[in-house]
Amino acid sequence: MKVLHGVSLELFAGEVVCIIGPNGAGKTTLLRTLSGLCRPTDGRIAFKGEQVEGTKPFQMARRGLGHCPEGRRVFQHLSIEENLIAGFLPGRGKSRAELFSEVYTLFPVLGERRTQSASRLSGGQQQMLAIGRALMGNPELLLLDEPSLGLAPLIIHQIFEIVIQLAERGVSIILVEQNVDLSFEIADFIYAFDHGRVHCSGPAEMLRGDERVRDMYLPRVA
Amino acid sequence: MIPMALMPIAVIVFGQFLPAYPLRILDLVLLYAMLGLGLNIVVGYAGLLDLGYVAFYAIGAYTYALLASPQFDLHLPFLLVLLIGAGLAALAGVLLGIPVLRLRGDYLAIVTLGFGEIIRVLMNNLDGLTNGPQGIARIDEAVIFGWHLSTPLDYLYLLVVLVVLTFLFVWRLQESSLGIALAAVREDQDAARGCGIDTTGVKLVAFATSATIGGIGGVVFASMQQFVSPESFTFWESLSIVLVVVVGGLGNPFGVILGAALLVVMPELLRAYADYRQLLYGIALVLIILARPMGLIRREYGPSWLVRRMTRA
Repeated sequence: MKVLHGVSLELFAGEVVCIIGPNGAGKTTLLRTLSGLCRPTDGRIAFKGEQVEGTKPFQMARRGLGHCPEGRRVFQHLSIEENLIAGFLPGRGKSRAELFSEVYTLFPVLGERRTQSASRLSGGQQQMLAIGRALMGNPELLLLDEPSLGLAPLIIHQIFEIVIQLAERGVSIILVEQNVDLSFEIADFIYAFDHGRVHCSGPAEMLRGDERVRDMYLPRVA
Repeated sequence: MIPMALMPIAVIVFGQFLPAYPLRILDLVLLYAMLGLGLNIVVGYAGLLDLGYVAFYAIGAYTYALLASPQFDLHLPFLLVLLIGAGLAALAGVLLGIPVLRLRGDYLAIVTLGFGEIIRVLMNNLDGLTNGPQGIARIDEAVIFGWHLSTPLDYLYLLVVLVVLTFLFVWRLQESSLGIALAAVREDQDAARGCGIDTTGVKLVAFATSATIGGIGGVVFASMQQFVSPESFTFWESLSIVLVVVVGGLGNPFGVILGAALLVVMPELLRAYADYRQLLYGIALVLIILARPMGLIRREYGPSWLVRRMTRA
């Protein structure tokens, strides 16, 4: 089924781009297409100046794209450490030990519980693990698919702090969110999706309070 | 480590006191343990149901049968054929793996089942090569560096060494990054793909490794029986090896060895009740699975757990 129609977006190194939009707008499909999990029927994707459409997901990961999927999808029966090892990619400029210590510094709770099975973590901790797993590939571009899903506001806040830290280190981020307020807080640039099309887009400060974004969620009563 | 190291020694000492027939059964237990450890890589570690494992076993067995028997009057040395058989089985694993590893679950099981049958039917019908249903007889006994293996006790020594080596190999594999990648594929293939694992690649390696062990088992089997025929490689045989793994404990090498012991010895004990043997065997299996749905020894109580346990105590 065709989900995305004539979508065009771009992202510069070190930028945080947020994709917002209602359910079924095609946000997740967009991320899955970028990371190679879905194949585009047509159109082009360039990453670091190279054409990459049709590239396999593991090759995209080796080129420096990390994907933190919707619903976290951590490996429940593996330990935290094993989850991280599963995400480790050799030959990306950092050793496994270096990446372990980076992840455990960002998320100390993961380090404390490294031998425990991932199923024993809370939702927020599992989200941290999912992000940590994506970071084990030392990505230049990180795709985050609704990291706030089903989490308490306090935890969401913690996780977004980390996202900002990552961006400050120069990791480019594409963040898919349903939470519009949060998105405006951290994004440099916003794309609002609806029905598989870019409904409107612009720098976060320009799009704030824009009627078109509001209308997308609250259709005007005639 | 000590209790693990004592086990093979105990088996060898035990073997000294056994008469020929029970000794043969013990050999079979070890052979099935080895096959189970091999199949466990695919079924237990990667979570892919392979119902055609016997094909690789058959390839190993026929390789030895053809290269070390009067069939073509070839008498290549055992260790050389062991390498050739392992290599051919690995090749077959890769050739089968490339088309089928895109499939999942039931579909994979069905295709592997078909592959197992194809190999058996080929052996049955390639009369000129394999002698068809009559099989190949008077196969050479194994000779390793001048040591002539002829009694079941000789084969016990060989099999203990092979099971120990296989055990150490699959244990290290399970703990390696490849093993973790396989576990990730088993847990959630899409997530594994998303976090940069070449899922097709690691599954192919798992298939080939598992096939290699099956091939080695086949070579040993042919030299031990000195006779092979397609009858030894039916679907029932594949199923028995899957049962060894599932009953023993998916993903747990200890479990697999225990499963092999149980599934080989149980039918022998039931031999006295000839008419009801299959029935009793079936009932026993159902009861075991009901009582221990995760297998006799659960996945987490593997060799690494034991080592942690022993070093802590």
